[in-house]
Amino acid sequence: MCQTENEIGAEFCRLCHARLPETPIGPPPESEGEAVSDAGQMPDWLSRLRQEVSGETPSSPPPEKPAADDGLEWLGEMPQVVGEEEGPPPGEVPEWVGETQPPSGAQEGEVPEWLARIRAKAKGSDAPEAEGTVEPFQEPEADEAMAEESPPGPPPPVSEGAPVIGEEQSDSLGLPEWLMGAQAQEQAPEKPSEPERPAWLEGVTSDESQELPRVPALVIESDESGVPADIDLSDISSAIPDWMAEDAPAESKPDRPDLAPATLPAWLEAMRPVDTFRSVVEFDSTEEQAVEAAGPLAGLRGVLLAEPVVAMPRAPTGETTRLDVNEKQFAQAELLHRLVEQEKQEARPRPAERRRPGVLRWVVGASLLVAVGLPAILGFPSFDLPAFAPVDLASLVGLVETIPAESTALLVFDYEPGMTGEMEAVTGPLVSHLMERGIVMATLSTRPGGPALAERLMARVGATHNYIRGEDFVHLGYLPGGPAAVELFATAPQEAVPSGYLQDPEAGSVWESPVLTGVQALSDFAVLVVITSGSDDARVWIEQAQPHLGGNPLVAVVSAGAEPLVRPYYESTAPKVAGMLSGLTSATAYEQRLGRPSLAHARWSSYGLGLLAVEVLIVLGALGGLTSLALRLRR
Amino acid sequence: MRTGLQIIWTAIAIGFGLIVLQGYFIDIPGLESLRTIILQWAVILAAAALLFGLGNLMAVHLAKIGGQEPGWPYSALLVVALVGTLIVGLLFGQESTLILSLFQYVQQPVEATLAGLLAISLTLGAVRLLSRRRDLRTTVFLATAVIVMLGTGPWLIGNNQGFQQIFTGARAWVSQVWATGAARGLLLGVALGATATGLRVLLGADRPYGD
Amino acid sequence: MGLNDLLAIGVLAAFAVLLIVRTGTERRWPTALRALPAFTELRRAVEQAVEAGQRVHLSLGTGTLIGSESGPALAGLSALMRTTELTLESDRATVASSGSGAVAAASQDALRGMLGRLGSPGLYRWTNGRMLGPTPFSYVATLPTMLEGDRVSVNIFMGHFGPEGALAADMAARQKGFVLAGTDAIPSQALFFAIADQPLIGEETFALGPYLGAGGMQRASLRVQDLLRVALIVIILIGTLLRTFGIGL
Repeated sequence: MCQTENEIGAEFCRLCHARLPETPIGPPPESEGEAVSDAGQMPDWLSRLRQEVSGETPSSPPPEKPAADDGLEWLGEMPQVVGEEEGPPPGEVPEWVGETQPPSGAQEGEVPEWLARIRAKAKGSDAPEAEGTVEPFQEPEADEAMAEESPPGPPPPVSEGAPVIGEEQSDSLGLPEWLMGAQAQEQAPEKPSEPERPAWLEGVTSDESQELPRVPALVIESDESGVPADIDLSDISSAIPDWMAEDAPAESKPDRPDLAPATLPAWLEAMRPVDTFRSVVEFDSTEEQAVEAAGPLAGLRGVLLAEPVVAMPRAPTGETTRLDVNEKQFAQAELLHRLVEQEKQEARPRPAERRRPGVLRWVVGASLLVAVGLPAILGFPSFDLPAFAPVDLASLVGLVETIPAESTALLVFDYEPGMTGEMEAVTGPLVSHLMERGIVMATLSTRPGGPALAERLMARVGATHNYIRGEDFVHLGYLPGGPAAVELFATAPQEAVPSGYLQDPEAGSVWESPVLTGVQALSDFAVLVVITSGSDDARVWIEQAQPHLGGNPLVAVVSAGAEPLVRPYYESTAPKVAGMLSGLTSATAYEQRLGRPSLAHARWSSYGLGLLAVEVLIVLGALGGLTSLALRLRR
Repeated sequence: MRTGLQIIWTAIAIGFGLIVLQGYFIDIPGLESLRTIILQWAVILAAAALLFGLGNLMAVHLAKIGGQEPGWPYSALLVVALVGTLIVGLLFGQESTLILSLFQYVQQPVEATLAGLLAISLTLGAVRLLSRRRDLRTTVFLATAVIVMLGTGPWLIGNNQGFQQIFTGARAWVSQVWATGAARGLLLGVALGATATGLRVLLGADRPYGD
Repeated sequence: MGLNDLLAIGVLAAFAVLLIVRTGTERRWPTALRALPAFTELRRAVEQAVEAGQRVHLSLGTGTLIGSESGPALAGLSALMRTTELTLESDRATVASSGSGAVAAASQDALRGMLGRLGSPGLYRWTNGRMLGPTPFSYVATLPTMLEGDRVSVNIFMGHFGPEGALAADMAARQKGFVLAGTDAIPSQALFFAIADQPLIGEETFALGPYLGAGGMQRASLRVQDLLRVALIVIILIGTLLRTFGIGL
């Protein structure tokens, strides 16, 4: 049983649902130790049950209400616990009723030794025995004396935590009469005489093994005064109900026959797998019992440990499956089960949504490799060159032709090394054309690998035009900082790029090179060529640098994929891009026009067959998808 | 104290952002030079951040090697390559023949290979696309891709003027009208989203930085 | 300062004012988000990853924090903070990768700041914000090792990507992970459409935060964006009609 404070008159604990000791509501008995008839203390609902089962009539009428003038009118205002609504509905007999023998008679209040000692002290002095200790329970006689001295009036506040306990409860330690009957049965080894056994209990065996296990409600390692040595209860004494305080010392001496152990309610007992559970619940000696480590009972020894009870594996027994479950409970159990199952489902690792067979990847890869490699290695199949040059090409060629010879062009290499396959082939003819025109060039890049790519291309193309680095072209190098750096370069090129790339140290700064003679600002370059595989880089240069060109043209050399997004800058009414070259088709046409077949020509057939392979694969894949859909729909 | 720091950082972020932003529209000499300085700082910080990133890269992979985590040999290879290239660059300079050779014969082929893998991945994705997503959008996507490719590349049957002209015209119509128009519309949406994101940072509502 | 500059300032000022006003009225008239399957699937995938003890990976792209590339990077950082909040209970914290040192530093800062705001600063690990490689393709080359070693099951690609983004998404998909991808680069969006489980198109990239539960100004900004988009459409249509009828502007 837990230490939860329950309302006065509650029959079961609101937390652990254990049966609580009955609290007297009616007037106190007239004398201490008076024999109480069993029927007289039996709850109404139990009497009614007995009547229903056996047809017996109660041996005595229900207790009369106290007279109005006895000075205890306020007691009548207290809630009636022993009422009709407290018992089970007619026709339902709890199991524990069948196991409980009718009380055989009154119990003589056999005062234990420790209780007698405390009583003696209480009579001698009302003060506590020693500082730091607390009386384990309220002295009944002192209560009675206080009740006699105090004038009739309202009872002390309930928050005191001390329910009204009469003399009778001091003997029974707060246990109700029906439990006292069960206790008497234990104390007396002989069975009750047959006539005392009611008819409604016929057939109910009194096998000891079916008796309710006696579980001590609270076991406190106590010293002489019944208070644990390591716990100071002085501050919380008022919060402990008296019945609990009384139980504690009683449990510390389990061999006392006059003290009744607590019992589990029938419904809790029915839920309990007796065979396996008993080993957990049975208590060892006080010294061997574990100390509770957590919760409100932390530090107490011998309390019901929640963890072993919950965690202990147990085998289901026949008794445990015989549960009376109503529809509501069944629905709640189903809900709980469903929630647990859903939780399991969510915890399951997410399965792969789609299978990715490696075979298809290999097939696609091999197809593309063969398609691209076959023309490059064997020269077969061979595709005819474009019959028509793109419209953009003519204007670009015308633009290059208008650039004055010996002027300086700025080439921006803003693509990744991985894109060299397309970009070198596309850029090659334009650079070749510029070299044919005798235009000197400076290169720049906003990517770390850009200068090396520029050197690679310029060295390859320049070899055919006798262009020498340092004399005919220079590398300004890497411009770190992205778009912000582009803007800085556009406004002050020499500040943004103080040193060049692959520049001869003896020749001084790159800006002192003969290639850049007279170049102070961006507008001093005759043309700005932006070579990029992405539309964003092109956009950055167009938006940030074009306004600083002073009317000089900006040419965009882009990959085929970036063309649609750059084209608006070229085709607008006020174009910011003066010339445009995109894709391998345009580059091949450019080489044709220049009469210098180069990389674009070499890759034309591979490009064509590769594209064809991709088209075929996509069409096959689409057909496969549609076929599988049709088959699925047919099924 | 923590709230005070938070306000200071937010105020710094807002202030710097506003100074750079105004420079795009208004020419105020004092603010313009301040804006230039801030941009230079940004460039320097970006370059320094590269060093920070490399340090981060090294540390992550060293930890992986130390813990013998799955794939640690790859991490070891990465660390060796990084340290080796760094040493060579420091000893011989970034413009040395050795560094250029490393770039030309290691980095460039590796990246070109990855770009080639991209072609395979895209083709595979397109092949599977209609099996994964069967909707109108996917169908239009694939049809457009095929039309554009037919109009872009050479034909196996040679310069068949009729078919080539048809597909070349179709490709130009799709890419220069539909694709360009759609792309501009998307760009407007992206620009609005980027502006909203920037404004939220400027107004201190989004604080993607520590307190 | 020309007419274009004045117009730009006006648009920006109107944007800011509308944003503030709409944020103020957001509580009274909350922005209703239309259902987007990509974000619904993402939430589910993130929840499953948390349940299964697997990691969520957010790629912040290969762009920098400077210039136009900063927009998607900031959106990615905002998404990173929301994802960090969603995976706070997970055994494996969200990991952010990038191809830029500046973005890596920002991601570490965002992770640290968000965990601090969530009251769990002890969960911060500096290795959860990484730079995988200084160039786009080196980033992609390092990605599979990270995805495999960190038991990543959800991949969010949110930042600036070139064509290498498609390869990264394919590598993530090969690890049998969920892939949601969005970027500001239009060609890369087309590539993501063919590769990713859930591609984001256009401005959807910037809507991830509100769809992951961010409120206030983030939700309000979506409504303001819609409003301005409608205004732009009207202006474009009027301009086209005027031009068609020979009225120059």
